[in-house]
Amino acid sequence: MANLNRTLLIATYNIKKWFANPRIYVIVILLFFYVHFMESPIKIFSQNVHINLPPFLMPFLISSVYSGKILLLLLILLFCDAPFTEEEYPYIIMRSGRKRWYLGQIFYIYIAAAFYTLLIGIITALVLIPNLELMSDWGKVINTFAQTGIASQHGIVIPFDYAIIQSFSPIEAMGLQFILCELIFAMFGKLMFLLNTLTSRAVGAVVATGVVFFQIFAENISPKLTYFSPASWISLSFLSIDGTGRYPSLRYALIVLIILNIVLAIASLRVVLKSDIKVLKNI
Amino acid sequence: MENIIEIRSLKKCFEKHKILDDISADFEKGKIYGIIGRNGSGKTVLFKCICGLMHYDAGEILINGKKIGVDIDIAENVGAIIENPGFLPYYSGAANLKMLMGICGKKDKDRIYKCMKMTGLDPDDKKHVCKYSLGMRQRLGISQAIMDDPDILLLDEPMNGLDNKGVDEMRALFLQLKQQSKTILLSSHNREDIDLLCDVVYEMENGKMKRNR
Ligand SMILES: Nc1ncnc2c1ncn2[C@@H]1O[C@H](COP(=O)(O)OP(=O)(O)OP(=O)(O)O)[C@@H](O)[C@H]1O
Ligand SMILES: [Mg+2]
Repeated sequence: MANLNRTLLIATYNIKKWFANPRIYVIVILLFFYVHFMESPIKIFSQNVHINLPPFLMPFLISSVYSGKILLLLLILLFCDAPFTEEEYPYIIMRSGRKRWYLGQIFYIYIAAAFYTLLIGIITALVLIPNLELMSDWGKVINTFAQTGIASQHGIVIPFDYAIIQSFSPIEAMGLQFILCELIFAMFGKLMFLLNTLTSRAVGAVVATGVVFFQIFAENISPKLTYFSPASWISLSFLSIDGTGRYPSLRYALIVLIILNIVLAIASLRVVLKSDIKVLKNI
Repeated sequence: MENIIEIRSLKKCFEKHKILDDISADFEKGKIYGIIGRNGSGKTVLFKCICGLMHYDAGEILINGKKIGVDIDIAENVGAIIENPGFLPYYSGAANLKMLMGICGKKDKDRIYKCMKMTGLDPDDKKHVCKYSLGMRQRLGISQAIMDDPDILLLDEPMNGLDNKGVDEMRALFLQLKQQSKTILLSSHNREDIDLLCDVVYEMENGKMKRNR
């Protein structure tokens, strides 16, 4: 327990640096404007028909062709300072040793990924105010959008996939979306941590951006290619929920993501133990 | 006297550039060692190797009989200030030290207060570290190095940015720590610091380290 506390303290050290970092504020602001831009036609629709919206738009928002890419690019901005070794890092690692320091960084990646996911969830709901209403089902508006073509007539670009409504309750869909986001975001964080530790700080961001662009390529060329594009699985629309479609099944995606997370964690540990980690500038 | 640090045939290169070339030395308990040399002669690299922050190519470093990189990855019982002291900018000095102490699994407010006072800082000062002057930051760096009461201190240019009074205070502090049987390795470009404080002086040049005094 005491050891867990020490590791968490190392992880929170990185989070404490957020408040002084303009990059973090830029991420929050851009995210807010993007979500606002995407959801405002829905809000206008809801005002016109006098029916409020539930706080469960996140799985649909992320299904949009743009969202997965935008959210991941902002995530790359969040983790671009990996391996998080600014001037105070020697003082920390001398007190923790390499292994615990590494564990602290991995904890940080998971915590930051969770915060980011939560932020997306909160903003998708917040921008609906004052038309937001707490309800336990999908509500009339989403049901209508999913079953008719009315959404596109009102300039709404978010796809309301009927399969999602049919297969999941709102809580299930949100939970699943959180798990997918957490696994994919943490995978990106660890990939960048590994590459930046091995080489220099620009490499992780460039490769991660490459993975995002491969997502666009894969989605446009063939459903088969999305089997090799983990970034695509952030969208429930690019997964075949019942396991019969052309896209990878949910089970496949979850298993591969867990394996990738484990492999990247082991590889990063080896690199941390073997390499000289430089003190880098705060960005 | 017992050797607390032993360095044997230590080598470190950066892309064929030999920074440490077959260095050997023993450091005894309760003495202050001066490491001098021109800019880029490898003093900081040597300190980083001793701490375990940097891997070396060949040779061995033993701290209290434990081999760095084999028995332990980071030197235990060592306090250090290396290059610029870095802290969380939007926290006070005492809060920063408290967090660092927490990483060791310890909680000792009195010790933090005592160490800050020893280095001439006011522990109750709520001022954020980003508003500290260069010398105050350096003093906080020294407090950080001594607060866990380590047996070995690696001080890389500890007098950076200190005023004359500060330099005198730190000299007195280092001599007091020596009385408590601490071993101090001190790199400095100031001849007076070296002459006044050090029992043994090593000079680094072209990757070699030779005893000067
Ligand atoms: N991470 C690194 N990668 C490549 N070269 C390095 C690295 N760290 C240090 N060097 C090189 O090693 C040499 C020794 O550097 P070091 O910092 O130890 O010098 P120093 O004796 O501490 O100098 P100063 O008195 O200016 O502090 C320099 O030539 C430096 O460029
Ligand atoms: Mg130096």
